Amino acid sequence: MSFNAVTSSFKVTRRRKTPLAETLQVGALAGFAAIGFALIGAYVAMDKRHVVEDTLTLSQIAFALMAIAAGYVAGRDRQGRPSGTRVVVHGAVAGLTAGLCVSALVLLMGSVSLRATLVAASPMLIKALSLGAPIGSLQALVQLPALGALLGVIGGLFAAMPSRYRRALTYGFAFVLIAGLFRDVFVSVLDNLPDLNGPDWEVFGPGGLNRGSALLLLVGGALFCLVRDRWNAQIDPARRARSSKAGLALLLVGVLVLPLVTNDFVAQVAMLVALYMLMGMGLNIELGLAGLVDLGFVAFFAVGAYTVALMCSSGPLAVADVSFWVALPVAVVLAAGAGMLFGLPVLRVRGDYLAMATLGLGEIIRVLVLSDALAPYLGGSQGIIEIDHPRIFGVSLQSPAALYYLALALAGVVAFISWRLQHARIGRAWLAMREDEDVAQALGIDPVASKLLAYTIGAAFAGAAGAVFAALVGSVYPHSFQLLVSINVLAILVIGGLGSLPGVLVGAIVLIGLPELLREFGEFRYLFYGIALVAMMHVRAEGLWPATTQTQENARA
Amino acid sequence: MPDVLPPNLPLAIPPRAPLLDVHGLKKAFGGMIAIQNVDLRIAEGSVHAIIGPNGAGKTTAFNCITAFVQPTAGTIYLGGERIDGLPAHVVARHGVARTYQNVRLFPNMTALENVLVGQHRRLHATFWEAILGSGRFRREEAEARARAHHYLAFVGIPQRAGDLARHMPYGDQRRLEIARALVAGPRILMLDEPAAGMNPAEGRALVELIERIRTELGVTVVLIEHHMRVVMAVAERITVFNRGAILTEGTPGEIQADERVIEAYLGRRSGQIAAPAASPEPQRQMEARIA
Ligand SMILES: Nc1ncnc2c1ncn2[C@@H]1O[C@H](COP(=O)(O)OP(=O)(O)OP(=O)(O)O)[C@@H](O)[C@H]1O
Ligand SMILES: [Mg+2]
Repeated sequence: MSFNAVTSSFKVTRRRKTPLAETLQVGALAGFAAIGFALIGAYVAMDKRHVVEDTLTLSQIAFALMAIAAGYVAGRDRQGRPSGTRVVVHGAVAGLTAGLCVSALVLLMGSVSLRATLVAASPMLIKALSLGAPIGSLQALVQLPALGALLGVIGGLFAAMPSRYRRALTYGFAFVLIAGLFRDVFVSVLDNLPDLNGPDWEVFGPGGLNRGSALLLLVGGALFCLVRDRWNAQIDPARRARSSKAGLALLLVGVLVLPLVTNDFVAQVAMLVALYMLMGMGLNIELGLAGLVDLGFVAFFAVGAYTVALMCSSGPLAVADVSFWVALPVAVVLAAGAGMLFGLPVLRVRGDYLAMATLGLGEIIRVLVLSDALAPYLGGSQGIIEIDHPRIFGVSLQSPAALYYLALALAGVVAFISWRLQHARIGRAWLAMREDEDVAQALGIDPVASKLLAYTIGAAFAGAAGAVFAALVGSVYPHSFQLLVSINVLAILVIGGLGSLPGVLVGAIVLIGLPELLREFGEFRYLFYGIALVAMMHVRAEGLWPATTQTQENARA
Repeated sequence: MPDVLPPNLPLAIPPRAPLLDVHGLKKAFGGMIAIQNVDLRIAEGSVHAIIGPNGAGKTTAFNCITAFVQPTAGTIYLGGERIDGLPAHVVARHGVARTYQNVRLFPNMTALENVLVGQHRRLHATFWEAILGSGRFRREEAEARARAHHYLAFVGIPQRAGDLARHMPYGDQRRLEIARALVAGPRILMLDEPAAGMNPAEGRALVELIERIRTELGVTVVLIEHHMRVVMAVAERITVFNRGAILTEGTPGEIQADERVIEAYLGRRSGQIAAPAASPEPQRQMEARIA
């Protein structure tokens, strides 16, 4: 048979697949996703996190979402209007199939030990998946498919309901999830608030939301969405612009008082976010504006950190013992110089090769720092310790809150500079170079000079981040400057939206802040990075807060 | 001017020194010679057309002049200064601006931003002034925006300022490209097939625009064009390219009467003179012969 005949016969069989077969396939897919989730250990890890106290854990929510998603896909009718039976039957079958897959896993784990190859297939997992029923009992095996079917029907109904209500429910659910996941943050805020003599009613339990407050949030979130949609549809653009300005001001106030109303841990995470924002804004100049891929970005961060370390340490390797405020500008200047040197060899390299070249250059810096030759000066793998904290008016900035404000202030300055440059001659030249280098040059833009400037400024920003990092941690080691840092910064830009300053903020919060706050995610962090990146490319390739909408608004203003 | 005159330069100095003076231009891509022995003298303040069959080397000549590609041999003078061998952005600073045969805008930037980029060499505020927002920087930015709007209006697309270039209709993209080239205040504007894809009404509007570029802005225009109506309406002089060399040069009347031109080009494409959408068959034959 010819190749064509094979492919065409394949096409025919695909087209002939019955709706039931498709539904079974969707259910099995969800089931396999659930099995994978359990076998990498994510289920057990996230089962410790109660979103709703004693009712729902994070991993249960994850499983439920998979069943609901299966029901949603199966219940969606591609031909026409969804019929009641289709929604219920197909939703149920899809959810049932997914549940059966998980039951099969439980059964398998009960009879054979998989632990030799799959560490996560532990008794703990079996216990967690039994949902409180006696382990190995019939109930434990039957309840999963039953629950799956129920959730599948819910998913099907979800597909059939008007989009208005679908949005509202999603909002309500998001409210519950966010409140439950960030319980610690909210509790610390509530603790810091003056005690209102209200009813004696706790919103949060020791692990998550209390049931009553969860229900309240679900309903409240849904109502909020409905009311807002209504309002948005009626209100004229001018007032909407004003309300979005008010929202921005509110956000700013929130950012400023954050460490005051929460605890040290949150302040520390916020400071990490600010640090990554600094780096993100640096790479945004290089990649977002000028279109220069840079996988060696962490090198500039390292230069900044080591400069402060050498100048502010009271340890044996110190070359000077000056204040942080003297070292900071030196660090920025040295990092900028490194950026320029870095730019020189890769100037004529374009496209994919640029990624390779910068990757190599970034590694060179780390290897140099680790090398024996420089060990007497930079401490090799031992690093440099005893770095003094910055002082301001004689007060040492030691608390996470103080350092957060330091990083925030720097991020503010850098954001301002970025914003100004972006709307000046040089920023437009960078954008033009990113779009079409040859045409930009024909308009009088010197490609060498503008590329070098992009590398220099991007590096200066990263150097500032490194300086704060050294002062924060009090020590620097080469292993803090791995390729992964560059990749994190790159991911922030991609998730947030290339060339967009608010995008950097959003990206840093999503990729750095959230995983820190949800420590259960810790070891699965990069798994979620991957999923988030792939999902982004499919759903919103331009980023969460893309740059074009701003430029269009600017031009109209 | 050069110290040593190239061998076959006419000794009689013309009454008005040409703004653009190209001599003995040659470009080879590997073994394929795209153009050779090309001499061009474009008088200041004139509209000069370059015509010729497809693949004759017209665009290649433009690319050599604007340093898009480096010529294999030959000299190029602009206003008495030698510009060949200079990088493209320096050539641009000498006052050369161009458009492209297949429109090359910055697609993800708005029309206004495209025209702002075009002003790159007109703006002088330094990096530090931009960061600190100095008075000069702000004045310059305001002027630049005003000028951008002015030129968008000049080419007839004032309402497009906020639109992304890639979302604009084709005809407006061509106009925007001209605005972007003009806004820098060039001495010479080189248009590569500006009327391509235009209907007769748009062609007439283009003729009018080119007239205004010359009279109101005082910019010398060189254009490559296949639409004979447009060429005959705007050009004072016409240079005919054929198979990588110059076939002849003259006034529109002379060119229309020239047997060789009719033979090489006009005769075969006479259909196109009446109706722009002519069969591309003769052009392909030409190309095949050159390649
Ligand atoms: N970068 C290049 N590399 C190789 N060959 C090229 C290159 N640019 C142009 N050529 C060749 O040079 C010859 C002249 O091309 P050119 O584009 O200058 O013709 P043209 O007169 O502008 O034609 P058209 O009317 O189709 O635009 C063609 O045979 C073309 O294939
Ligand atoms: Mg051409």
